[in-house]
Amino acid sequence: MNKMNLRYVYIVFLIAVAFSCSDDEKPKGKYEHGAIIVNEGGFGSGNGTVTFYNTSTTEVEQNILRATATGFAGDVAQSITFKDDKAYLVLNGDSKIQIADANTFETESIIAGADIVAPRYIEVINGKAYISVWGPYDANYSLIDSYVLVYDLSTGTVLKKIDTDEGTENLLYNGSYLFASNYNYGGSSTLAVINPSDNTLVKQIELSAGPSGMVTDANNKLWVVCSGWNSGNLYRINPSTLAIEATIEISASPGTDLAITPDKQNILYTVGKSVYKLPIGSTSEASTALINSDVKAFYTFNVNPDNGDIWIGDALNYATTGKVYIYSADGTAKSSFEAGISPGQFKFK
Amino acid sequence: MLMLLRSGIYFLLLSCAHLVYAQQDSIVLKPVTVYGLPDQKYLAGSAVIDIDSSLQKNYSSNHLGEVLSIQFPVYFRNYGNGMLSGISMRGTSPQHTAVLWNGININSFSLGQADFSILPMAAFDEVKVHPGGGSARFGSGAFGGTVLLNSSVSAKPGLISFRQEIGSFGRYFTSARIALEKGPLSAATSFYRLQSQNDFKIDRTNERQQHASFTQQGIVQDIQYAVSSAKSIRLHYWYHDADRDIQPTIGKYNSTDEQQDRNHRLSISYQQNEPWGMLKAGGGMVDDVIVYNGSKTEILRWIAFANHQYTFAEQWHVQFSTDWNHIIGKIKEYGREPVEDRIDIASSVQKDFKKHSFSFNLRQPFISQVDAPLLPYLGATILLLDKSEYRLIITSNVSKNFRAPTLNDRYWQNVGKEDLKPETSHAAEFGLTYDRMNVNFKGKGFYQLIDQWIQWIPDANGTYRPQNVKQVKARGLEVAMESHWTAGKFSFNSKASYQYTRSTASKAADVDAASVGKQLIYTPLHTANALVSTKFKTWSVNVLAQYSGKRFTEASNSNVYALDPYILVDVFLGKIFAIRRNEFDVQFAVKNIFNEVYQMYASRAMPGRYVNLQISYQLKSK
Repeated sequence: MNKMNLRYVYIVFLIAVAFSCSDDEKPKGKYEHGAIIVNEGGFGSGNGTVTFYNTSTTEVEQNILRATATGFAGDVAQSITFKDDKAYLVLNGDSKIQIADANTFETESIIAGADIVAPRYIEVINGKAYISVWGPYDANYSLIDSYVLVYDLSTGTVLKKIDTDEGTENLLYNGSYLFASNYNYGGSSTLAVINPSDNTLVKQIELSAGPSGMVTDANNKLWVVCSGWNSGNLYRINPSTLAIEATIEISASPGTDLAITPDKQNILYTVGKSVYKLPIGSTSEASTALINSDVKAFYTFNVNPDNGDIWIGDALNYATTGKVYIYSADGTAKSSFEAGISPGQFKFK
Repeated sequence: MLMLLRSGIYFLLLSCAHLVYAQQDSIVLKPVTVYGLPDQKYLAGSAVIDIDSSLQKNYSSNHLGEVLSIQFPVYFRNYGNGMLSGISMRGTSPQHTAVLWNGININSFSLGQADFSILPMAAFDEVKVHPGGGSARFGSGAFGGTVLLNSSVSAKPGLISFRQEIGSFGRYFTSARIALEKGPLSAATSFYRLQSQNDFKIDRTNERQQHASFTQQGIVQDIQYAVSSAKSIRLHYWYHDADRDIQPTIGKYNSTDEQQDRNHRLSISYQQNEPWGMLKAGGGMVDDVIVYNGSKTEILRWIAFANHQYTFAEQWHVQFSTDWNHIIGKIKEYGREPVEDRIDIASSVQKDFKKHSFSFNLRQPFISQVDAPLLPYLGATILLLDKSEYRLIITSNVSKNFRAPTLNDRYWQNVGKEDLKPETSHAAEFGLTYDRMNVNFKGKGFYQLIDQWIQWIPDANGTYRPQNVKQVKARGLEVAMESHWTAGKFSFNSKASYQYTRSTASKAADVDAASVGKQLIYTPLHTANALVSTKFKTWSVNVLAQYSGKRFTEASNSNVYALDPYILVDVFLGKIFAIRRNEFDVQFAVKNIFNEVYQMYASRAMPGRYVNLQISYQLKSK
């Protein structure tokens, strides 16, 4: 080996070291990329879990967030939100938010307090957490005081309670407004619009019974699904003027989840055990279903933004290990695997 | 039609028996003092086991669930320390064990199960357990077994007794009893109160348990009036009042759930013991109130019962009985106030041979719109070998059992089904007992097939509805050993048992298909327990241990949700001081001495090591 070659090897070595040290190359953790399944767990059983599905190897790992003394995530794991390498898991039954590292799922801290009773979803904007809170039930099992709680993550203090109609559910931040759907099992029918710059309630837009899932489309328009009772609606809302631009009637009551294809040109909604695909320019509901699943208890669905795959969660009897079914974007069944008890949310990262 | 046919068969049997009775009428019977037999005699081929006396004393401030799990191979789903406690016996669920108080079923008629955490030891004089199928004798729900709680009317050794306990986590227990006898009237009144802050330290989080405090108190009144030496009237009344904060799952914030239970139980009976037989007739009342987060549910029952026993020549014992339950369901969720009557008629035949005994029981329950089956029990105890130094006994029985649908199953508004089928079971058991002077060894195998098991299954809209969907096969083996010996002022008593229970679903609903072939949830494959009590003069040391194997909490037996096995060991040190008629008994206990971290129900913490001091005083009668 001559000197020239040796120098060459040395340079290659230096480059290799430099690359391996750079943050971009080194994986941040086992769970950096893949699908996250939030499993509610049995109601009042404290066994809500998070399942990880490695989208490249299809390996499944159950219960990756062991936060409690019993080794689970907590009671009734409702939803998870990722922001700046942190995972915020909302535990409805525990009345708390468990913060963990988004890539290793090592637990970090807890958000809890007297103002957090039955939280549902969380959004993080400029270091502040916005948490939709149902609040306590009265003696007739009715919600009486729901709100969006503004919590300062750096100081750990409650900044404000933004009062909304009861049953505040999904949250969506589009860069200027935070939208909060007031669901309450169809008991509320409004969409709260919050301005996060001054934490004021700009408006509550009157829709129909049971607003819940929301997405934004390719034109940055906001879509909201309202489950209703026997029939429901899809609304397209202008996010700047806050005007309702389109109302699409769904003849049967749609499910509470809403998803969008990777190109953001098609909305996906569900009725019963079927998934429907609707181009964003449509004026009426889809005539045929994209997927007619035969799951036992359709509990959630979402679209993998990387390949357009449609994921469906089956809660079976809400007490036994649930199942996840993966369909390709054209609606053909691909595969399935077991998750935890009552899989209720899919997130892709 | 089937019901008519069945009752026809029943009355045929009844009239045959009467024919025998009529023929035997002229025979002059030898005078005997008692013309009736205790329950266990009518259950040849199975066992009615008394609770160990040292247990009864050491755990007098505990609830029945905490005590039974030490002596019997049973498992309790305790939703925390001092919280809802449901029994699992021989691989069955909590609604499959019948609890009888002075002969009256006190399981919740809305839920089907008995909450053992509100059955304090302090309220009973006698506790017995009959493992295995026993519906023919004890009625609805006796699949896994029957727990018999009795009040005593005979004069007590203690005229006045008083007990005080102080323990960890702010636990205080007080009880007092006074027994009087005047002429034909004897009466005993007792009172108890238990309170606990229950803020034990949760292992790993190192935080104290929040929102789990409870108080329980009650009064028991027993009165007997002897009309003559053969006739008596008895009254038993028990009021229990419990108030608890519901212990949340570990890691829960802002818990506010609370529950109050108020239970009135009354039994009045007339008993006549004559050569023409022993007659017992009476009535009672059970009022169960649960207030959960301010919302009240109530089930009120009026009860009447009558039974007659007669002994024919050559020790043929015959018993006829009938029970009537008038049930009123005052539960908002029913949308109305359902009233139903349940009537049972039953007969039993028992015969003692020189070395063997056998018994046959038959019961026919009648419940409106429920097609209840005819329930036979046939059992035999055979003395196989009778040597001077040991005896070998075979016990065996077969039975058909049933469990009536609960009021929730039948009347819950929009989802309940009034014509649900009852659950039925076919059970068989075979046992061998080896009996020596100081040692007793028992081995038993049991098998039970439970059909039409009722489960609340979510329909396509996610609405839960009760359905007869499951079939379960429960089988197992049980070994138990007992030995005792005395040397001078030293005495030693030990008991140990082990049970292997395989209880699997053989049929299940579509949504529960994953449970087929799998072990039932909260049903350990292995359970074991042991107790050793030693006495030297006035000193005593007792060591009690229980083991429970891994329990699945999820129907497909996922290990993610399984609970780890545990061993609990309690140690008691006691000393008795006697001054003339005054007796003081001081006991110090260390419970869970190895500080085991365990859970009996998913995510409910249980306490680590803790202590308890008990001081009892008794004024003995002259």
